[in-house]
Amino acid sequence: MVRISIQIVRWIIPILLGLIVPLIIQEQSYILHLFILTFLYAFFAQSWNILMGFAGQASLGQALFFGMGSYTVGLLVLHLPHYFKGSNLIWLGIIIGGAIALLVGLAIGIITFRIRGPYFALATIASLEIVRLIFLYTENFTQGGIGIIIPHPPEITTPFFIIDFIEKMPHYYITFFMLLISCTIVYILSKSKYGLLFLSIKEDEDAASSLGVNSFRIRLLAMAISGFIAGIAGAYYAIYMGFIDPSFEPGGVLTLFTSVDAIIICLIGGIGTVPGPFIGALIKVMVGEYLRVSFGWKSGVDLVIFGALLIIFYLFVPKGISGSLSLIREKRPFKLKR
Amino acid sequence: MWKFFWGVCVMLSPTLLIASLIHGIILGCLYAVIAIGMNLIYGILGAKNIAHGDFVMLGMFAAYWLITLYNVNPFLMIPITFLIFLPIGFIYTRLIGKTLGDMTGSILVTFGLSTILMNMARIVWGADFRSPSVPSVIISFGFMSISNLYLLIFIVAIILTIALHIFLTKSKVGTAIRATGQDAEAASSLGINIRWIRTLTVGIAIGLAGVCGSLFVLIYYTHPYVGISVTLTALMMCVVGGLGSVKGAFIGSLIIGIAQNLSGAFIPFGLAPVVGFIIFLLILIVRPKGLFGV
Repeated sequence: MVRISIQIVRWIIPILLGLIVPLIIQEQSYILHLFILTFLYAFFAQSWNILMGFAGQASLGQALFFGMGSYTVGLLVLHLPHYFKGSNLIWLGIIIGGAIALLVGLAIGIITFRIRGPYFALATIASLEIVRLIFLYTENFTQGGIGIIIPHPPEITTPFFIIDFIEKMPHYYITFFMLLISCTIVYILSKSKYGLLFLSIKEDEDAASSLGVNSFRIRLLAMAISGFIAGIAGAYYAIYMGFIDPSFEPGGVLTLFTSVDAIIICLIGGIGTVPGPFIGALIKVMVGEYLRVSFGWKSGVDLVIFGALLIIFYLFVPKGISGSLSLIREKRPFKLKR
Repeated sequence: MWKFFWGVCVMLSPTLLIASLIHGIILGCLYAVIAIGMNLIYGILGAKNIAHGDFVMLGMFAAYWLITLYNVNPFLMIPITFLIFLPIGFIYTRLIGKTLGDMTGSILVTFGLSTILMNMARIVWGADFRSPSVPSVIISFGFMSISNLYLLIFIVAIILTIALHIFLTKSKVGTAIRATGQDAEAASSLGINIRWIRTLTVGIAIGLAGVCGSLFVLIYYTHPYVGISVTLTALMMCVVGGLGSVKGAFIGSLIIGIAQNLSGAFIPFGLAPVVGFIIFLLILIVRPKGLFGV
């Protein structure tokens, strides 16, 4: 009974905080913007968490799914402006983006079905770069390096209030619920049969398949779930930011830097834990932004400090914050040690 | 369409075909030295060194300043940069050695270091594209011609590769390096000081990265963000050949270098890496552990 209430408290308090805090700070749209970024990046990092933390596939091409999601929305706006430009149908674009990223994930899973470990990581980078370069050089189709501008969705009028998507509040709540749903999915997954199957191919793929686990199918399932979540994150990012381009710079949707962002977030928070990506994203976005603001006098200083923080973090908290916390919990007395 | 047609015409002309083939081989040989260094680090520590390209970038800047400020001869630059970067590699071992056997951890740490290095370079030297003015002479062989700088790079890269191969297979220290890569505990029980061997290996790899940077700057411009693309290309070459295999890194570099240069002749130059990546994926699909991987 006590255990159940602790579980409930652990879920309820953050949810209540997340619901109430924006009502207090709703005038400060910059802080709300930071929270939106935090939730969005946590949602995106959760996709890598499923793939690496549970299924053990060291993908470095997570930005491919992210970029496919955002480019689906962008291309819909570009080529079907009659339906998607500045209309409510753009919300459908998010689902289409997720579905396309899911298909891409399946395709990559089928192509790389024999490739494992570091080779798999490099194969995902290669497919990411192929797609990025093709998008950069097919100017008739994607406008190349010019990028695509995605207008804000129109406001929704209800009898009681008006939801205006130029404001930050609706985006805050949408990203918050997206993160909540993804955490729930990961939590259910970690408790279900499929979570165990994922863990089995993470630990030893050959041993698992010798025991009757269809490792190919499980890998495809992990790629599909992860691709879908990352695709939705990318599509929402495109709608929220309003601009995407395929350039090779930190912040571009189809770059290695975006993949590494997800990895860094998971490593800070703790790989293979449910709240890990949220904790990691909170630290990464807030610390990164604080450094950028306070060391803005010379561009680059903040990134140097951030890199140093990463190294220090790995050396002293190698399991991530969430992982270290659960280690401390396991070291408490009156609990049997194995 | 006309671009493609022109490309086919170019492909049919033997001069351009041979010229781009030769330049592909030369670039491949230069990248091979970088990739072999990366592969040595992977073989001995199980770490993916994302910061390798940034050491190449530092080598490029070191060579650039040596040439611009002190007018150093490009030949003399090679030992100088090696001696500068060897101790840097020794210090670097202390950092990368902490991630022993943890691949994702090594990605995190070396990515952090790469961020530090590239942004330090940007703070100190600015984000300009720089290229030293080295006099180059065009040597012609009847139907085609080649710059003497390319020739220098080719000769030095080949000499370095052969020297490395002999060092790793024939000398006692080289055998110890390979033994440590295969099984560190067994090597240690046979009386090899694995700590010193690891330090030495990383030192040599980083030193070679510096040397490659000093060669690279002769034919390419340098800027603080050049590192990440060098890292990607070199990683791809390592993986095509098989991680941890020196022979594989050399052959893989040749394959990717030639593929990129030949395709650059008949499709838009920016798309040339795509051909390299596709060949890379195809090789991995056929042989999931690279050409010479175990």
